[in-house]
Amino acid sequence: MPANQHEEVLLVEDNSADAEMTVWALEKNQLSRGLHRVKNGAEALTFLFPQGEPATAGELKVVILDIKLPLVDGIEVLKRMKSDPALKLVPVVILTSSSEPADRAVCYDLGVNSYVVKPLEFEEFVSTVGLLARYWLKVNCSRA
Amino acid sequence: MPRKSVNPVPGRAKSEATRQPASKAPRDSRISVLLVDDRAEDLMVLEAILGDLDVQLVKASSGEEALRCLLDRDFSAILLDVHLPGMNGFETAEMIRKRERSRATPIIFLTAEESSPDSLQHAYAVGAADFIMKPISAEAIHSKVSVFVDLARAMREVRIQAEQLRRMEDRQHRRLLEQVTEQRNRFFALSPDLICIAGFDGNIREGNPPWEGTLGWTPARVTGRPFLEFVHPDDRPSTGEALELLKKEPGAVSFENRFRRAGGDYVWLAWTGTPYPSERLIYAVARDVSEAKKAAIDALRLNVELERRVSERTAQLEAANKELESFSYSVSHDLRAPLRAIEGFTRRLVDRHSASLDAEGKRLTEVVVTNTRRMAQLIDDLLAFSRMGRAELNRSRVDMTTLACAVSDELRVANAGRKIDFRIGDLAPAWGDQALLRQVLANLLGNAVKYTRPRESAVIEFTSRQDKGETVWTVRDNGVGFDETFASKLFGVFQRLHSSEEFEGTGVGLALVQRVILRHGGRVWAEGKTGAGAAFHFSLPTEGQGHAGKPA
Repeated sequence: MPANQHEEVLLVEDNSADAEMTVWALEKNQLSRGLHRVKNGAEALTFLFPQGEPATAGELKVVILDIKLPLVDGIEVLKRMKSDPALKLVPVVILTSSSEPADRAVCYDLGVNSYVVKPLEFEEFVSTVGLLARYWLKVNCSRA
Repeated sequence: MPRKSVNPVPGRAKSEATRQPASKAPRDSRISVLLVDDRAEDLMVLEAILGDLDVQLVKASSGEEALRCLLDRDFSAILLDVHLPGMNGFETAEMIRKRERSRATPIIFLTAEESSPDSLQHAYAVGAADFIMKPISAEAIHSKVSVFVDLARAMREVRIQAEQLRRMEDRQHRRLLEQVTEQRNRFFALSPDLICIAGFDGNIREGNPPWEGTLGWTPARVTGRPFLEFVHPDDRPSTGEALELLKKEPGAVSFENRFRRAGGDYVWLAWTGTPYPSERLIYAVARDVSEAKKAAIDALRLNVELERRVSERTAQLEAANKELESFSYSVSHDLRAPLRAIEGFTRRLVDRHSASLDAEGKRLTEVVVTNTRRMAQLIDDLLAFSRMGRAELNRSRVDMTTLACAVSDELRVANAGRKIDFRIGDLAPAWGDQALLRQVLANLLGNAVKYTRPRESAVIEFTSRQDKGETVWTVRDNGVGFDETFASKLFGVFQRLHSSEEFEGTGVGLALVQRVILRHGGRVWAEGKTGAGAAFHFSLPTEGQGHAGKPA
């Protein structure tokens, strides 16, 4: 059984502070169980596409993905996921500081499920991330 | 038939000598009178009477002889006896009248008969100028003939004078013609410009010496050659058109072409041609404009080069601008994340660890949060400013009065505790981007509200006026004003004349105002005095005069 089969949430975030605040938001909503965090796109791909095995979605219910990432950026990760028959069904939420229309357009073109600009205010950030996680893990959950 | 009695007038008998020289003179040089009578003695009497008139007297003894005399010469008068053997006087007169040359010659009839009204009438019918009865009176004859002789003489005089005059005019005319021709030749020869005479057939008739000096063509090489043969092939169509035009219309035609020299190279010639349709000739003058042409071509080339450089520079600038924008954007973008973290972690410190913080510790964390927020505001403003440079202008007619009222209403609500007197005049409409102009008004009126805060009663005026093709709007307040020495710093990004303790703000508002106005092709400036209020002016081009907004 691949290592990724029990994880429900994949958080791809290079900024530790933002990652920690995202965790706070999930904790606040009792959704932090089964969370796996990676620091860049390369680690995300390794997690999603284990060597020598076909990729499977496993228990994965949502991927929270930043765009600006070291090594391999979020757009590349998104592209690879959405072109994989198994992974393209996993909802991907872009959580980024970029409000550039171009970035938004590229992500939607690639089939992103949500594009959310990180709120500037801390409290808004926590509530927004909490809402998102609740939606994709509870409301719009495709698996039991 | 009664004898004619002739009383010769004394002294009338002139010597033959006076009459004879006439025979030596060229024929017709003297006035001639024809005497026709069949009686020799009567002829002699007449000759004697008329001898002093200085005329040539020609005698004939019959009508036939008289007609023969008329074949040779013209007479100024004819004395004609009515009674003649053979053809009588009337018949003779009729014959004389029939001839074109003698039709107008005056005829005086002589007759011994009693003048019957019939014969008189007959005489006048055949063209008698007069009628003299025999016996003839010498005086009557003399006076009548001399009238005609004098008339003839006078006419001859007039004719001679007319002839002389004609000859004189001819001479003068010829002299003038020679002068003109000489002047023309001199001009033709001495003119430094090329002169060419060509026929309507397009062939060169003549070229002046510069053809040899400037072009190297000897007269023999050009005369009779087609003009177009010397013209650069590329310029032949236009030159041909000019020549056709010259043939069709009077008046000068100017054209330029490259003209081949004997050496094979070309010179630029500027021609002015004038047609002479009556002679089917074209006169054309040319000047060598190679230097000017070369200069013009050089200038053109220089222009093209300059333009190329300008567009290259513009492209570079645009690229640099874009780079700067994306840089400022990513800087703002990257600056956000840590701020959120600072705020978030500080909050968590306050929320979760307040027990381990004393009052001072709590105050310090508050300072951190406040400054974090301020920093966030700065970044937001910078982002807005950066976006402004990239946004497309969406121009329309903007009702500034309505816009100003809406903005001032918002400001009044936001500053409910204050006494603010907005005086918004009847403002000229603007031609611009409504959303951006609203931002301008919000910033300028907002500034006025902010800097009148120390006043118990704030007065903020907003007016407009027309000034030389542009409209100028002015926001004036009775606030704290500013030191005009620093007026130029007002519109710089992050430039502030007051501390943020006195008046909050990031120093982006006026920079944004300036950027919007500049992009609209307008100007913005300020006047003020410390403690005595400020006035901010901005102008916009009126509709139709605005330049396309370039990203600032």
